[in-house]
Amino acid sequence: MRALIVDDSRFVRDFLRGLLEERGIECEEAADGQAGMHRVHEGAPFDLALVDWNMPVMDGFQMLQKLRTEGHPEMKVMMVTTEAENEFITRALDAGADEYLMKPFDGEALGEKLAMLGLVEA
Amino acid sequence: MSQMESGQKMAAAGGQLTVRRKDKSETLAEVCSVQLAETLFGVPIQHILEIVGGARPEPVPLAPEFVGGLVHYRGDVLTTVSLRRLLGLPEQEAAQDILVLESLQGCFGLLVDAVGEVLTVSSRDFEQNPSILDERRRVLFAGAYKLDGKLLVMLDPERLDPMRLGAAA
Amino acid sequence: MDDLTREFLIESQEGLDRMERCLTDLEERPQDRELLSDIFRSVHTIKGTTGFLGFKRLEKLAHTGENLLGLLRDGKLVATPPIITGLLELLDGLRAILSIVEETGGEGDGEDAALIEQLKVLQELPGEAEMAKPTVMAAELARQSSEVLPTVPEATVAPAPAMPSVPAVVPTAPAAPLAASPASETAEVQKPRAGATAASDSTLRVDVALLNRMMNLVGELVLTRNQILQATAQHENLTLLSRRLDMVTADLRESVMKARMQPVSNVFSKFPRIIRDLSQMLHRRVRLLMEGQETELDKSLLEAIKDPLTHAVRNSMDHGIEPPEVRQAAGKDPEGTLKLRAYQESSHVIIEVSDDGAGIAVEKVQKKAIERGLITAERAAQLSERELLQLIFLPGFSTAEAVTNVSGRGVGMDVVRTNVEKIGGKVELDSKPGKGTTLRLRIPLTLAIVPALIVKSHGQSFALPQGALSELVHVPPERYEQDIEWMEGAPLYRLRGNLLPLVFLERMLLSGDGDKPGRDRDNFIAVLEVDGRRFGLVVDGLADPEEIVVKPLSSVLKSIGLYTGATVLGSGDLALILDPSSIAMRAGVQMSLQEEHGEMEQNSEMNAMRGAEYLVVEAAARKAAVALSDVLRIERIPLSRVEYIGYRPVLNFEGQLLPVEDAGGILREAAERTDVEEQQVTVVVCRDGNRHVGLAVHAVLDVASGSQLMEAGTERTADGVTLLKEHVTSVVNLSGVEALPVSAGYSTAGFAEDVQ
Repeated sequence: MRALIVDDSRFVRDFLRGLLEERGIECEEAADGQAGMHRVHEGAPFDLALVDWNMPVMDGFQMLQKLRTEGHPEMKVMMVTTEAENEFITRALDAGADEYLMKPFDGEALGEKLAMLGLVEA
Repeated sequence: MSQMESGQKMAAAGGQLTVRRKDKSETLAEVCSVQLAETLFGVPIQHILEIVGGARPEPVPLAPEFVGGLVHYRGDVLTTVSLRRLLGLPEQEAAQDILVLESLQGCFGLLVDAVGEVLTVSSRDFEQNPSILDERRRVLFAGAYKLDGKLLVMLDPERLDPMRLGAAA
Repeated sequence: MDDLTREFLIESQEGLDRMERCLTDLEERPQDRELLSDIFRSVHTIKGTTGFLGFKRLEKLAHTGENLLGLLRDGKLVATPPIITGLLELLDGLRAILSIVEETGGEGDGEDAALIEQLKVLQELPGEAEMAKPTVMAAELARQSSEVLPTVPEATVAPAPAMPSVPAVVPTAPAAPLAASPASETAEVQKPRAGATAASDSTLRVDVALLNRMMNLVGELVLTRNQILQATAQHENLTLLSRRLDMVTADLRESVMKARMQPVSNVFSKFPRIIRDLSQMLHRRVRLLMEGQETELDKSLLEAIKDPLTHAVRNSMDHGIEPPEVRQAAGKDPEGTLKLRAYQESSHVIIEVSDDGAGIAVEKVQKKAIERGLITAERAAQLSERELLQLIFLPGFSTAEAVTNVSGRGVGMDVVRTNVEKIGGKVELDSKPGKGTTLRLRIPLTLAIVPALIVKSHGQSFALPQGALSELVHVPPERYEQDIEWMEGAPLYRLRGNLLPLVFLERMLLSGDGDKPGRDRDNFIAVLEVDGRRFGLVVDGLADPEEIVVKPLSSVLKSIGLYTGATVLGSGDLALILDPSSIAMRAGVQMSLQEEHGEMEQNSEMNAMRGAEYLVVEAAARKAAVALSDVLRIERIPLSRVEYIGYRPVLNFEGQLLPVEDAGGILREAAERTDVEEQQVTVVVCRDGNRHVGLAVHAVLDVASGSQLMEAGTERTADGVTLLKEHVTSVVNLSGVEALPVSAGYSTAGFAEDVQ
């Protein structure tokens, strides 16, 4: 399984990579939405994208919109955000996000969300 | 550093072959021997990084008396301390050997006539510096081991550190 | 500390550095939404990551800040000076906690309640009147700054467009597994901005220790190359290999050097804050202009100039720029200008600190220097203003007392100079009373590898950094008595009519005091200029200049004071690197204030034009000059090594055929002579772009620095001539040397006659 981590924080990328790799998920990283789209276009397809909300150049919501405009139905998109605002989560889900994850999170919280997406065993 | 302390230090370093305890009262240590003029000197081998043979250090004009010059060592320039000069002995013309020693400040070279064999010595044979030893030598030497028919005078690398010698001078 | 925490610390510190830069820009453009988004994101990221590590104190503080920043970003608040002050305090607060984390791994038990309360108060929406004032100020500031900062778009002056209104602040807290859910959360509308700056994916962080290790290896490679180059002069088959090594070494060296380069903005960026604080403290109104922040400098050098630069800036604020009312009375803009400027000039980076303040009162400097016994009244009376100004750099000139008494500057200027010279730099000072002062730091681009002249004394080689070298004079034994004059035991040389104090290196190093040392041999005088002192260092031999790799000395040898390091020469020998400034000091050479009177009087523009070094050669009884930077090697070769393609002389130099220019007819003349067995000729091998060319010369006379000449009545420099030792001398036009293979005759480039 391949996951794409899109976050402008190296810390968060490292943290996520650690948790995902523990589960045997192969990871690639990008520091903003635009770089994330490049990754999507360049290499092998991803099964999952974990996308931060607030990023420079192209934010998470824009990336989500772009992804869904292009399609990529095989790729689950999980928004990773601190925005504790229903409105945004709803907007993201309306725009084609499959899940969301609130920062801060731990391995267990991530595992639950992955299970909900059917990517790992519950 | 007394021989006791160095024994403890070595033990603390853990699992080194240089130290074997036979029983509680005896500690064995390995010492690199150096012949200089009449005297056999010893340097604990755990302080020696490397031995460089056939060196001709570049003199440093106006340097303190004890400085033997500079040598090129692994990409750096190493300051050497001349044992002959330290002891007030005449200079030797021939190439000399250098013991590269670790110090607080990095490392330095000890310039000696020729490096001899490695000896194993026992703490039972150790004696402190005799009181009649002149001041200059008492500062440099760390006591002696009684070997068969001769004495092995111990040199303490920490006391030979050029920074320390420079501060004392 | 685990890797994640370390990552967190680095990232947070980087974010706060970015925030600091943005905040100072924000003072000028308080409504720049891009800046506000950047600042918001810095704090937001910290808040977002602290939760993972359980740093509650940080999270709480960052969270309060985030709320305030959210309002600013959304245009609901305007960044007034009190708000910016509050944000700076937030910055300091976050930094303080981070440094506790760095040291202890925990957050400490400090209390941030006051700061949090202050930030909350700032969130209160301002009334109309308050809104209006800062906007006007912003417009004014932007107008002023747009004159000097053309990059500021006019648009920033206009008030921010109305934001889509967002329903207020509703706390909703979906389960947050690790941290307690925040009490309230401010609504945010993400306003994406196309083309905003991004953290570049093409950069990489490298451990400085690793970089240093690489530098050391590159140094080794340079040494090996030098040795191979010397060894292969005789073995032709290795030539190709060594040339490749030469290329690889140069490339590698350049890339590693580049990796160590950092923009001066890393140092400049802290000045807006310092100046802001100082202007409040000293009641000055100061506008800071910065230029050339992208100029890069070696990391270690950048570190080294941080303090001298801060010192200079403080001086400008303290003693340069006058209080507003004083400025107004003098008919000046009540707001003073402090300008930091960085730019590269050949192998140096120049950093200027200039102000439009009161300038330095020369008469007070004079008075002070006399009072402090640094100079006699008689001598002081003879000095020009420019010379008097230099007294400020003397140790002992500035004391605490001087700070309050001297209305110029002078706070530890000797320290500034010492620190800059320690890294091979130079300090220059210009001041016009009433108009302002400029301090110029001239810093070498890199520290580790320096061009040096190899000199010999008593059979031992020493390296003399070329930075201090202004010219070389050869004194053959037969001219010794005539050229070297003695005044009660003090050796002197008459250099263009001025007496140059001489220091015999041999005598200094051997502490000998022999009568007239070096009488029966060739002597070379290296004319050195350092610390405003000018003297001649007499050595008994010269070798080819080399690029030397500086190796540090142990402290016991450093404390001798004469050597700055050691190096391994191409021959494999070790050489100590001489420190010209210590030699001058030890020999008691005084500041040569009277030297080169005419030269010193010239304005600073003229000074800036100096500095180019030339090799002076003689061909067919004419003098000509070659830029020293173009000279690769001076070869003394048997005439038989010169080959001919057609009638074009060529030389096989390190496996490459290079054309030899023989405008002086030296080769021809030598070939015609039959009275000597093995004729020797001198060929100067030069670099011309990508190729090498040779110049046949009768003799190499000298190295001298030349001034470029200005074409009469224009700002253009005149090509092809230089002012050397007060003579206009023609400069050899290397590109005029015809390429090989050739069929045509001699080019016309060659040596022109002296113009004078």
